[in-house]
Amino acid sequence: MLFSSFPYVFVFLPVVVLTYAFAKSKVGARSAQVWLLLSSLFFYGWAKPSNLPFLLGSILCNWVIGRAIASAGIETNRTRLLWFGIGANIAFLFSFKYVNVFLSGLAALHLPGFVLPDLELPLGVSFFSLAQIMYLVDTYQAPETVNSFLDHATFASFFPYVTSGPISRSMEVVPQFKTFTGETSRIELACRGFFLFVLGLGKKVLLADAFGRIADAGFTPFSHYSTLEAWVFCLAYAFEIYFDFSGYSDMAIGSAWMLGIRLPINFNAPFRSKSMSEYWQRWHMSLSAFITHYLYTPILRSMGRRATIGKSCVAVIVAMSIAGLWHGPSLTYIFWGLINGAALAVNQVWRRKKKRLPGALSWAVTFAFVNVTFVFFRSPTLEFAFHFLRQMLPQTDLLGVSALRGLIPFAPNLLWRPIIAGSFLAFFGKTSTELAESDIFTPPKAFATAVLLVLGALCMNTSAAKTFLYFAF
Amino acid sequence: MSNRDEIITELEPIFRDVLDQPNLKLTPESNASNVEDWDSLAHVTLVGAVERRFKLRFTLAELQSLKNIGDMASLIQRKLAK
Repeated sequence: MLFSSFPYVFVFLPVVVLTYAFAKSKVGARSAQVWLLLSSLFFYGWAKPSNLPFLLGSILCNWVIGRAIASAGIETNRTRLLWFGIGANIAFLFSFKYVNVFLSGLAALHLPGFVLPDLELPLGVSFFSLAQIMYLVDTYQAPETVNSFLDHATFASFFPYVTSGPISRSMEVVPQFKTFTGETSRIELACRGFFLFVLGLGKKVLLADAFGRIADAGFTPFSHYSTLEAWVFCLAYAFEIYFDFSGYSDMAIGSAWMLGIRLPINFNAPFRSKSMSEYWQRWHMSLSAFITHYLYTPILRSMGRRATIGKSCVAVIVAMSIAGLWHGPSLTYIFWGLINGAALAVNQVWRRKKKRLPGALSWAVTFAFVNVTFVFFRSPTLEFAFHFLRQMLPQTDLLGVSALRGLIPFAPNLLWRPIIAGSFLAFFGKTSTELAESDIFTPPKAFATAVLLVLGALCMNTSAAKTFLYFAF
Repeated sequence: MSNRDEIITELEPIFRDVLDQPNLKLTPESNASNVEDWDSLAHVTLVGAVERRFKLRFTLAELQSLKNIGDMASLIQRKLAK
């Protein structure tokens, strides 16, 4: 079930939120939590019920391993159980992500009697597998945080993040099923959640999908563009993935706020960053927190107690390459991780030189490099990516617009307004989370929310509405 | 056993040395976002230096729960008391 769909916005979400609030106040927190678990399983199984056994199997296995880690008395056994659990989750994830690639290779050999099995990627497997690994590591290091089965099942299947994050920690989410700990009242947080959800819906259906139409037109095989056109298509994809994923994240966090549960924020205006290090502190923040805490730090600490710049560069490149591989079994993703890691390593060395570029120049270099990384992320093959990048370099056809002309007569209002609004929002003004945390209880903001919801609902109903990009992972 | 403020005073020379800022003043609210050059490498270097100074070892979960210097000092205080 898409967040940006009529069944979710007008039926599922209101029914779940209102019933949960009623159950929590009149029946009890435990009954409300059972309702939340059943709702999450219904949400997950909505599109493809055959995916449910994979999620339930992951929940059960990780719960059993977590209990075993917490109760094992001998340190060696605890460590073995932890590594077994991490290995099992990685094997589970890889069996869906990479075995198909291997088997496709075997199928190409036309071996007699070989039938290619259907190992279609279960929705959200990349995200909930990481959350399970975090849970096992946390349980190993703090056994008192081990979950009951109900807590673990509700945490792992929680519908706002089960499909695409934000990647959340059990020890931060589970206590919120029991007691509300916010500084504001539950109703106020729910109102702010609704506001954030509508902002996210607007980002997705009004902005991301419009940019997506331009990007889709540009990233086609055997294309030849001028330098200007190649940059326009590349920028269109950068804006598409930003508004798509940050819009999704706003809707996920907003849905959770409506239930009185706070989740980590995932985006903080990343395109305003003035270094790659800052960019990764603002882009897909829950993934970069996972990379920092569960990949980079252990890798660096395993190289000896004294961390050096050389060891750190190796650790960050390895960690980001693993993050690239996590996205999928493609050389383009590995290369994407590799160049991000290399850029972060250069950034670290540069910082230690204590030389600073002027603000505008450091922003321009960072933003241009981020766009280069997105070319690898979007391209079907490395060959295509390098072909596209060559066109982004100054060439004979510098400012030609013949390919763009084909797009302009095509529903211009649908494209130009979102482009202007999106370009402004990405670089200026408050972020959606800042807006949702500010004073929203004013007539203009109430009116704007209503208008955005109606516009969003209208666009949800068009053929232009696309699924979320990160559902592919 | 040191109290939290004494631990912060002991942390100050370590942070000054690792971050190469001789005049750095630490407060319980100091964290990576308000102390210059406190990046992920500096963080791991600081953690290693603090572990050596106080002869203790932080776990990943403990490191992740730290929000500022005050949290780090409290954690050190708890670990020293064990």
